[in-house]
Amino acid sequence: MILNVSRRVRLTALTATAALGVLINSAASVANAQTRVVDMVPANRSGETNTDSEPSLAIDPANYSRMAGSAFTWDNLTMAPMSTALAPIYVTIDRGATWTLAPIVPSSIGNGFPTGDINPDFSSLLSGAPLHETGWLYTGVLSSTAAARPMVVLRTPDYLDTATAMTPLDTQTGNVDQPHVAALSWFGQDKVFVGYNNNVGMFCPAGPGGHGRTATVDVTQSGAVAAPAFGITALSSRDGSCQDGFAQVPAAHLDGTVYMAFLHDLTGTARITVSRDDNFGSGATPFTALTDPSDMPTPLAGRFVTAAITPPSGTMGNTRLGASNISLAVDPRNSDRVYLAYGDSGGASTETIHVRRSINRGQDWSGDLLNVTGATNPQIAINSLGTVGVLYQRAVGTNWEAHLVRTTDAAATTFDTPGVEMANTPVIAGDPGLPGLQPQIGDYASLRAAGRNFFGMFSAANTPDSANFPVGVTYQRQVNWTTHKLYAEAAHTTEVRASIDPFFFEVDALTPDLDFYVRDWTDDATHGDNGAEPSTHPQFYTTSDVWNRRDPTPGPFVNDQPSNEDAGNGAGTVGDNFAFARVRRNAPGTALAVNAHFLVAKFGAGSNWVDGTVGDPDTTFPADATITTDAGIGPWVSPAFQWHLNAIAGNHLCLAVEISAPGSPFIPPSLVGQTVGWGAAPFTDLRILGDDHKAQRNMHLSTTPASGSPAGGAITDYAIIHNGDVFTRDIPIRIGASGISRRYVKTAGILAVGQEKRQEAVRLGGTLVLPAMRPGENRWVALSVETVGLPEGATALVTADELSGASVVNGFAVGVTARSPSAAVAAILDIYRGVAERFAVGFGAKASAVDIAISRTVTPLTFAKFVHVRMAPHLKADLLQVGGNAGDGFGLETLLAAVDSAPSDSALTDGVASLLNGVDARLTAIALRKGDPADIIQMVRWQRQLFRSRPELGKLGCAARVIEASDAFLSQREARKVTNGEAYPRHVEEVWACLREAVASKGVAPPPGPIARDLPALEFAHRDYLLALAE
Amino acid sequence: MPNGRTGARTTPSMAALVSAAAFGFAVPVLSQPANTAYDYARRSAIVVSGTVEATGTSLEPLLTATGSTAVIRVEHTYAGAEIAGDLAGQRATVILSRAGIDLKPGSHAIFYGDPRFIGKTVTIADVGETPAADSVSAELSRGLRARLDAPLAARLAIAQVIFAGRVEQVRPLERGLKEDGATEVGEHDPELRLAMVRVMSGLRGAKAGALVPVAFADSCDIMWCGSPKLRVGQRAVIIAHQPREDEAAVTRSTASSLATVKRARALLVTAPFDVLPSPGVERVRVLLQAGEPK
Repeated sequence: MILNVSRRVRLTALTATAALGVLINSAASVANAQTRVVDMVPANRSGETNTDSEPSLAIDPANYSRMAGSAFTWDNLTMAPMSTALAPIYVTIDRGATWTLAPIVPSSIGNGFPTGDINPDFSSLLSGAPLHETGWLYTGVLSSTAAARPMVVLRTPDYLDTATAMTPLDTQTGNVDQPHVAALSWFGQDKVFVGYNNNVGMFCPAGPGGHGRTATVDVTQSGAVAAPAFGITALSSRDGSCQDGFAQVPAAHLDGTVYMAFLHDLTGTARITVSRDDNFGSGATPFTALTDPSDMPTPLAGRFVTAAITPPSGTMGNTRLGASNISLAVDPRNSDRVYLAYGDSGGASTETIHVRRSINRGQDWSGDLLNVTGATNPQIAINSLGTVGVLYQRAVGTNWEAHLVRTTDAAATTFDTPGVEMANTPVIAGDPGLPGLQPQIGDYASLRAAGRNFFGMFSAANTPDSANFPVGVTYQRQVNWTTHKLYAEAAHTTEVRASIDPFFFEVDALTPDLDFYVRDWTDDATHGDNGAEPSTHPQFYTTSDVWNRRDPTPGPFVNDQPSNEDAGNGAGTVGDNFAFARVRRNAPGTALAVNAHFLVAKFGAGSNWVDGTVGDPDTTFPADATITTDAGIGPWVSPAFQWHLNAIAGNHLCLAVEISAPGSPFIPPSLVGQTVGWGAAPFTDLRILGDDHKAQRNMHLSTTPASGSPAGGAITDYAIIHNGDVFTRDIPIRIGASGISRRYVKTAGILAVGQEKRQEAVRLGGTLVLPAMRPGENRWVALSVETVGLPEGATALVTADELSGASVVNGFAVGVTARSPSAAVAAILDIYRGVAERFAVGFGAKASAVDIAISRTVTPLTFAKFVHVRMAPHLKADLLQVGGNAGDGFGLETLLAAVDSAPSDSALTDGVASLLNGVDARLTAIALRKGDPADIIQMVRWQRQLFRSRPELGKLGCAARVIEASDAFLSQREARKVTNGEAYPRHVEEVWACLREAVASKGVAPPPGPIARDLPALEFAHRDYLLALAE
Repeated sequence: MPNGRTGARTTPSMAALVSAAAFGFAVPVLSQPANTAYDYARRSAIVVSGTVEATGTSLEPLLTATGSTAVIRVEHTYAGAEIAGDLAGQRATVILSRAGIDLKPGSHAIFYGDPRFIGKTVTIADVGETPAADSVSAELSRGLRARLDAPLAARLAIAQVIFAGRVEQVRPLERGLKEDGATEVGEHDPELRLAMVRVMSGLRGAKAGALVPVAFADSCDIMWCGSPKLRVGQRAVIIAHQPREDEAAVTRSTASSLATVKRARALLVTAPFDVLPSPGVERVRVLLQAGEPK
């Protein structure tokens, strides 16, 4: 149903609680872990004795095989003054199996160091570089190219093209320090955030204005254009005694949320502080979304996470300690969840690291979830499963250990300490060339999550003893593992002393052979989604590998894209559809059975996904499809999944698939019961982008009626607007036409069904606001489209976009297709038969059912007679029987009158099409008034939210039981372990007494019982109670 | 040097020498003809002799083979051993300059260039090739020397005071300068100290016997560890310059700000070539003589 996806604008702060219901499978993931550790120094640098410290890793989000790593690596082997004017970075195209030095970072011949602090990150936007397909690589660096050693933001479109040095984009001078870079791509724009310490004045109190406010972020909204515009923002809003800490670290999310963490007032009352922006750091007052209660009544930007801390100082394991140890990560599934790692003094010359989190967008912070003494360089990342990983280095005796610990529980609060110990290497006494060089292992290490796996870099001694690497290691440089010696050349003639090397690691939760995925996009035969999480193309719903057909064959693939056929709805074969999914995996493996679970979201905007577990009366689903793979990498197309869709109103729907295989589950929660789109929590679009096991396609219904005249025509159609959120809100709907449709759409209007004065309809370009829609509430809109000059076979679309602020967050469209009279009549009769069957089967009204057989003989010549003699009278009769003709707000009587008085054949077909749309919508509305199983999960979410957020409900003795029961129900349903039919009646029974008590406590008479047993009625009754509680 | 600002690879050594020329040095290299062994060598970080094994091929997986790529067997490393070790006996990929001699499999030549990739093998982007004839050896030697001297020449070009001397005293620079109100030290603070150096032999701007205050970075932070350190009793060639405004950020802390250096009437030594071991005095003398205005 999404036609246009814009960045999500926050509609609610309530999702923090929903986050608790998010399940992860990290315990199993840890058990399946595979770890690789690679010494990154290439073979031809075997003679190298540099102190390659302070590493940073960047991974191309579009292809995890492409990575770049940086460290303090000289162009020469001995840390002598630079021989060339370019410092090298480490590059790989095979996922870190082999590394090569590529000199592309500007430096200076004769300089004493290659670069100062350096920190790279890739965007996922393909740069179009001619030599290699890659995203843009951005780097913040303390440059050695100028005496002032400024902070320079660099860029390259091709990190493998060593013919061209990285290009400076922005330069910040002064006592600048420690750039930390985060880049992401959003609809063709690279958002780049470079946190750095900006002690411009170099005097205490420092910073612009001399208030000690030096925490700064340098931002561009379009880093990939020829000359990006950067702007700096001071993060610190409070005066300090001198300056903020050295590191200011960003964490950016695709929904526009950007967090920054820093140490406020380093030498005064030092406190870890987090700032937030909700719109990619743009706007008049960026990074001011978080304030601290301590500043009230005048709120200041930046939330304190800690009380005053003592920054680490001194030397531990021959490495200096300082105010650099801050790391921040935002959950790719939900930007409300943000984790912070930092270090403080553990005493003289020792450090303790801490991990804390917020689940409400940085407003409130937990205590320590992890606490490790004698450790430094904490780095934190969150994978697509929601598993939190923390890398740290710990000084134990005379050794440095490198650990990766990960959370093991659903709430992501418990770590598997000591986790994976990747290295246990001796402290190096020092380098004879540059004795005392600091930092010996770096002021930071590097941890990234890419998809479900963790990647990173740490610096450690390369002392060649396999006992130093408990999970194994690969050296590219020349080594004799038996004699524990390093050599400069393959002949092992010249011995090389041990030094600090950069080590790459990958810790897999999901090995490539189990990494099955469904493509979110395919551009052409050679360019398609490779399972990256999140997917690199925000428009994931037009060329994905889930599609519908009207027969049991998968159809042709054009440009390697499946050929989707719009779904049919109606009785019998009219409503039969066949869904397909195409599955791949990232490496050969054993043959496995992959489960393909299909879902559909019906109606207009805001509808919930339904599947075979919902009990939805309009859809029928068989058992899940099973794809049997071979040992290869695919692709494999699923068997036809025959599903049925009854006649429904609204002419857009979405099809989705969730795949799972042994050891390779989809990321919970399932889409079932969630609202399509980004307009409402919990943001299912992000769940599809973030899970390569999920895919979605947006479709029309193929039975969209059409004008019989290419010259012009007018159609009215109806759609549901559903509030899928857990709070009451206004829903604005803007209508428009774009592209070629503008040529043919003469007029269009939208009005809320039930609105008495139709002339008040909002016209093209206007916005209709549906006020105060309550959770689960459905309202109907009628969208009228008048076309002119539409060529036969062409379709003119009018879009209806749900807005949040100025952004489009959801939507649907109504199209008019010009057809020949015979085709138009045939399509209309198809719909009529569906409506007639629906009257008969669903409502026991059978007047029109007698027309089903007769209608097959109707031609354009006999159509008018058929309509006037049979169709219209029978529809009137059936409507009368079901009580759907009067006071309905759908304007059916008007539509019937228009049919009766249609002045031409063309007007008649248009009028009948509109009438049938209206009747069908009316039937759906009648059906939904009895309750909707598609909303069951939403109701339980709402229930949990009410009992958590309403103080008067929280005080009830039974409140905890309701919350607990809600959590249990949602965790089971969102993992698709039970159906509504199995779990919902039991759940309602469990909470019913408390709901009654709660309603009574508000002084309201409880709605009538007893509890209904069928799902729609049960949902209806349940919602009644929740409405009473929400008042 | 603003290398890479246009996105194009510059020739750093040339930039350094042009800079030197701007300070009044006659830089003889500029008057030499281009496309000679001398010219190629002074512009190249790696110089090797070798035999072409194959053309149109590449050993480096990151480099697509083209008509300009060739694989050579290295016979001798003239320059660049500090970058990737002695390449003698190894195979390397070269991206031919197309400006030099026609090279075919079996051709023996000297290859001058810069490193492009260092992985399992080395890839060199040639600035030129010359025949491996004896006639080029003298030119080659001079070019290699010029390459090595270039960064030193750049420092000589900006130095106001050059002398051979002995360090008599070293003390914190900020002592007695608390009026700065400094409290904080950044992680990249140079930790400037003041050395009092007795001039033994003046080469520019200093007379024998004078005591010259020289500020140096005592920090071993990544940005300063490669800067010269001065210790009491040390004999060295000092190539010092007056603090420049564009170096203000270099000082990185209030405790040892540029103003503090100026108040101490100290000169600065910041780059590795600003201080040489005493035996380097002759090398400096030669370069200075070559650079004197004619």
